[in-house]
Amino acid sequence: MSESLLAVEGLGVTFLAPRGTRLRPRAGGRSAAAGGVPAVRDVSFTVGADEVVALVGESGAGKTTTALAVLGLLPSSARVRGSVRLEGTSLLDLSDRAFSALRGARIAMVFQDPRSALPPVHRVGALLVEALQLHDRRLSRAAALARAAQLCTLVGLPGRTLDAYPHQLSGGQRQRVLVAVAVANRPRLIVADEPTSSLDVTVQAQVLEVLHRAREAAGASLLLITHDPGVVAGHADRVVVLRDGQVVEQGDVTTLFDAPRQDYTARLLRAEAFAATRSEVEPTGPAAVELVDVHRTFRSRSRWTARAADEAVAAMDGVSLVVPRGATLALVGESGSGKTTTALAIASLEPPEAGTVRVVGTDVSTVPQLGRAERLALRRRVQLVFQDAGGSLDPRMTVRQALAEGLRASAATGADVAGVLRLVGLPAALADRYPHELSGGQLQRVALARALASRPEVLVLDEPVSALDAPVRAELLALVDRLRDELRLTCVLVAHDLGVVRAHAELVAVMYRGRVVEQGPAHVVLDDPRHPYTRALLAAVPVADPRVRPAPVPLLDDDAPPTAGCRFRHRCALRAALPGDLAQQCTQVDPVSRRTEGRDVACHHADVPVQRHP
Amino acid sequence: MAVTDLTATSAPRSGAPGVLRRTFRAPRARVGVAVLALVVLAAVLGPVLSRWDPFTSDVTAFGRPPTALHWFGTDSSGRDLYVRTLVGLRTSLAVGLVAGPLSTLIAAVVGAVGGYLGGRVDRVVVWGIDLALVLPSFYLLVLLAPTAGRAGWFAVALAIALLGWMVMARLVRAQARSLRRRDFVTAARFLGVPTGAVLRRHVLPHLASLLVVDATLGVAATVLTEATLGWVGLGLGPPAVSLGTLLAAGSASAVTRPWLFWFPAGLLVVTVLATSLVGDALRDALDPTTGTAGE
Repeated sequence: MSESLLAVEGLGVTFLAPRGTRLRPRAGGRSAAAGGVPAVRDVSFTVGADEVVALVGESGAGKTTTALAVLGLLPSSARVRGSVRLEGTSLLDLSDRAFSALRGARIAMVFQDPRSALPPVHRVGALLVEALQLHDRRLSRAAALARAAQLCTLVGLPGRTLDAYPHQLSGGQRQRVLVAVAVANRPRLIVADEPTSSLDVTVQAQVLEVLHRAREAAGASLLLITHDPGVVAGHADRVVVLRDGQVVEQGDVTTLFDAPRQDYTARLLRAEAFAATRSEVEPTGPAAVELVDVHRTFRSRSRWTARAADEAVAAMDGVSLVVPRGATLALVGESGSGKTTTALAIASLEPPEAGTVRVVGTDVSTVPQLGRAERLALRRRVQLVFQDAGGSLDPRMTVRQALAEGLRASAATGADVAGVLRLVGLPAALADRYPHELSGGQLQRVALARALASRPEVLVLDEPVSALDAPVRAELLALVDRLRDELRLTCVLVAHDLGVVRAHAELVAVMYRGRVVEQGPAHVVLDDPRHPYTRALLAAVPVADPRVRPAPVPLLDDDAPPTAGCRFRHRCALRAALPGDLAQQCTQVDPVSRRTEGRDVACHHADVPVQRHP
Repeated sequence: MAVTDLTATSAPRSGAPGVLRRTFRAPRARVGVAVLALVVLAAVLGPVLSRWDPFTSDVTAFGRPPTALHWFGTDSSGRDLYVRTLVGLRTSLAVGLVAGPLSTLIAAVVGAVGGYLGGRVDRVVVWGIDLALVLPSFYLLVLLAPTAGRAGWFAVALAIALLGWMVMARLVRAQARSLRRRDFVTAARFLGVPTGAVLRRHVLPHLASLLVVDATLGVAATVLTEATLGWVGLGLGPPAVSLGTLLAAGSASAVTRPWLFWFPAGLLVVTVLATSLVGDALRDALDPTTGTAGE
């Protein structure tokens, strides 16, 4: 290994509790020691020149704290021990002013959430110019602008991005801007904290590609914080595994994947089992949930202009779905595709704008005419589990109160709080805790328990595991599977993780911009995708194998989506390879869903054979 | 991640005991409560300790400065100022304690219903609030006060409350609107919890901090408003006394017989200050964004 660029030795970070605040022991068991809570204890690792080091660990393991310590951005309540050296300079001894001169010039950062990391009142160009001029006072504005344009090209953004405000850009574009800002001054080290975890899988591949390119162009090293084994395998040279603020294992990426010494490492890096498909048989039977040509439009009406129609976004643009009783349908697609809106259309029992929603045999548009008791009875039969379990529980209510509300509202008899907790594998002792005293996995179990308290027939799960660490995620999904079989539930599962879909759903519906583009049995659709969008989704999933490096991804410009013809054509890899007259069809005719090879596809050219990568 | 975990554990802003503990950690809250307790005690028991009554004249002492017999002195008709001031304080406190919480209650109900239900109801609520806001409330009060003043202190309190709930109602409405979109409120709705119960159980408790602070600060504001009305001669009519009417009577002779002005004025300032201190401390304890909460 080359000489180290960054050397972290014996780093310890302790957060002092605010005066007078009583710290409760965390549910995970990390007890509050006297004088504060150690977030990081004795962490040592190095990052060599031109090296990518991945920092992995479950949430609360101290990944972000370590990164903040390296960047000198810890809050004032933190007490830091040990040493952090960048090219021989001891960073911990630097004054805030001296550190500021270093940040952006020699160390740069890419944040997790691109939505909040860009100042909303500045144009992207002004932001880049500021980043450049801050560290080079003599740089003229014209020269800085020219360099900014180069940076845009480097991250695959069109030159006009410089004149755009952050809110005019998509999440992926914003993250690319952040990458451009990070590499603007050719830093020696880039720290990226979960740079893609808030992005869709297709966009994620592009941002990682951009980060990779920009890093190489700047000749920088990368400290990459991530929880995605696929990202680690595809991009890191070495891996540092953290647990409870300590390094439990570190080494070469191939070694760690092939022969991890710790069981913990193995669990963190093990990808979702792709092989086990839930069912090879297409379920049939009476439909528990049926959607016919459902529309839902969101209007962002301006107070000043009455042009509501211009701002209308079709979140559901003619969605038709059937879920037979006892089956699980997975809704997949990137954000903004209408997955959650569709889930809510089923769970809310509110009449749709247009089309028909039938749930457990009742047409939802008749609900307002039902009596109070009948409406409640219908409510009881359809329940929803939210994506953010913590947010779906009232922070002022104990678990007992939350569950009691579920039990009382549904007038369920014979079930009690302890019984419902036992159902989801939680001890009855948890009943008197408040939501903030529970871990993420426990919160989602409580949310599940509350939904199940009324003994529903249809359970809608909106990304129930996306906020959880890999091991907890697997446990929770296994629980959902078990409960589903025991209670004979019909499930609608919103997911963006295709591995989850394959293992836990019989049916899958792929959504793109408010439409279902491909729908059918999970094994049929995922093993032999026919819609180019489904193929793109599957191809973008990072592979958790360090020997398979990701193929270069074309950087697509995803703005100005078409409003006529096929909605997907500007991103379609298939169309690019078609002869002119067939491609013309995509521009002119909106494809309708038709039966092809055991599934429904909305593509003119679903029969065109594609060359598959081996 | 670890950082956010920590802030989550250090902010158990759920139970009332925690709020009280945080409130009383602030020295000004302790001072405020102690002084306020004294003031209330004085208003309740004070007049009993004196052998004078507020309306009879001591014909041997017209306009005398404080003596052992008349602790705060007497006015030009020989009435004992100590008893009159404390009886006036009773009235002022009663007006404040009724009008402050009452205007908060109106604001809470109107704001929460409008904000949570949304749609047509909300439009009517906003329309009503805006209409009430454009009314020049102090002038209306000036017009109403003589009539209300004759009707007694409760009518004055009612008039003040009815003209002072609008700004708070707007705040409550905005908060209720954002609460309506929170997942736990949606979850309760999807469980089939009736609208009234959702409001009572999930929406109003989250506004409690706002409401408690507003009610407390409202007490101080109302005492002042009543005093202002009394001072311009529009508050309670004679023979009823309040700090305001005493001030009005005493200010004319503030130079020649200073005790007639300074005793009621001093008591007014002490009462309003103490209430405000308690209100401010409550707000800081309940609102994590004011910055002094955790320190």
